Amino acid sequence: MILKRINLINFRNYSSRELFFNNRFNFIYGKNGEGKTNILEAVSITTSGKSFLGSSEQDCLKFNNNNFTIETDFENELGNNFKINVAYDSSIRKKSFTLNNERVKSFSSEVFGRFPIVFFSPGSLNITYGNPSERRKFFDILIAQTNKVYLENLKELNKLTRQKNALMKGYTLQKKFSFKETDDLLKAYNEKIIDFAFEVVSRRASFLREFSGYFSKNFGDLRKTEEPAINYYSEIFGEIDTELLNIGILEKYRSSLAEQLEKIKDEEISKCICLAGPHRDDYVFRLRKDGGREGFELRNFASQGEHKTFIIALKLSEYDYLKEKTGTNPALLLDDLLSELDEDRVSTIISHLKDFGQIFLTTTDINYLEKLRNFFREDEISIYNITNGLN
Amino acid sequence: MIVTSESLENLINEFSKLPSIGRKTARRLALHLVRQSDDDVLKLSEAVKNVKEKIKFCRICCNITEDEICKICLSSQRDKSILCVVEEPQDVYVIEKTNEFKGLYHVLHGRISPLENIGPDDIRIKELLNRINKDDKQNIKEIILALNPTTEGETTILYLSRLIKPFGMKVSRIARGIPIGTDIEFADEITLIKALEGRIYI
Ligand SMILES: [Zn+2]
Repeated sequence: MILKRINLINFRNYSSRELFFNNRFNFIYGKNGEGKTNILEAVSITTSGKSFLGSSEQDCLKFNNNNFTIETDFENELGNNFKINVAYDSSIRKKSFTLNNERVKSFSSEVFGRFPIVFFSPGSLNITYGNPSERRKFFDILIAQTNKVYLENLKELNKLTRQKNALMKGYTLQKKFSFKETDDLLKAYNEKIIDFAFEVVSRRASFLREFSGYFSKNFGDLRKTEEPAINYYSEIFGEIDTELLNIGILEKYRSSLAEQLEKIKDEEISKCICLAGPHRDDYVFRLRKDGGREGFELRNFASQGEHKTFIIALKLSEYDYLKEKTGTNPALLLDDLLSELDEDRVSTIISHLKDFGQIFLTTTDINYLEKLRNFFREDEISIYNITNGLN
Repeated sequence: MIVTSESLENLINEFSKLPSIGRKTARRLALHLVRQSDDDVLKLSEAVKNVKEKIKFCRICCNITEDEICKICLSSQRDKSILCVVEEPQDVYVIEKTNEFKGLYHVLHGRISPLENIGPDDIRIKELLNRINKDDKQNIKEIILALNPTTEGETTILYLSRLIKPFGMKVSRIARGIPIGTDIEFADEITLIKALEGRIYI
């Protein structure tokens, strides 16, 4: 999939800005704070429905404006064009999408996952350094893009969790519901939560088994001294090698979660919050040096270099996985990435770039252009000099 | 901002309290009425007033009626052994239009949703249980839970089925699946999965 054009109106620091893109390499440079990242962020909003940076739509409005519009034109491998537009209206706090000028009724079934994008920025390091929620978010978005049922299950589980929390608050704090009502309703919510938790964890497990293949290969290409592993962690069964996370374990997970929910019921009620389920699970990244059996956990014991190799391999695998599942080349968005990496890794990455489809790179350093010219023809590179939203 | 007509602003305020009416639509509706003839506006205001004065909830099924007991509950043509539980009066209207269902209804007027502060006591669940309880001749043989397939509808179904099952009648829910006239290839994935789950052996 190729992004041909973008048009930004009242978005961030742009009052009106139209850009046409190269099918291969788009080199976007300028000083910090001039709005390079905003262009990539806009792409993330039309294709995934949300800002990659986690900003609210309200934050994306140009100062003193109530509406913003983003227009994006894509072209697939067969030469078909797709026009995805989003308009945000702050008076109703809503954004509305159109696909080829027709109103999108369900973003998740009509747009989400059809225009795959891999976004790589210094913030991506949070996936290995950060809290479990960062890892869940990374994998949830990746799985959901290629599995709509997973997305729906996740939404359902989230809604059930919020309803259950509200029920417990209504009982414990507001005294709105009787004990009998609360007890009966909790049984209903828990039964549903267990069903959806089973679906979610099962799909995470089968995803991980497949993803591990891409990941081991990509990691091995970058670094041979260690062998990586991505294990799954749940309070119910502890940390487990994904190869072992089979249907037997999952069935046991279902019944153990039911027991656990029964056991912690009083604690949940008094704290008014769901204390068990996939929303508390984690992915454990491990490295094993030859000879070692267990391997050490990246989060606590790895060097910066090991972290960076791990995250690069994760992102490359995200690309490979999306490409395989969607049957189209994802667009690769590299936001200010090179500044965080040392010379060696930059060279490795740049030499790999020619293997990808369309690439967008933002940087403050125009010197990278020379390096890129070793791998791309002159007509394969378009250069954008961004100065405060103007050019 | 200077308000040039307080009564107009008042009307806009009232309109914007209605479901799915935003501020802009409320203003358009209000201005539309200003331009209508006196007669038309009077008819509308009468209709609004009557709705509150005349309309009651059926003592049996809680549907909207102008009598103590609604025409469906009174009818001798209806099959009293089967009860269809729905969320809203408009659901009864839609099912009635098919002319296929001959049983009786029970209208809950909502579904359980603690997030919106709606508990079992806020909808007509007690009325349903009383109705089943009073049915000492055991007329009711089956209860169909025809609630919406949303998170809230589904949980309400689960909650109700736990309360109803001890009475011993059949409890069912309506099937979910692919709309008639739709090719499988055009069905969305979730509908397709639900249709597969609810498959029927032949
Ligand atoms: Zn009635």
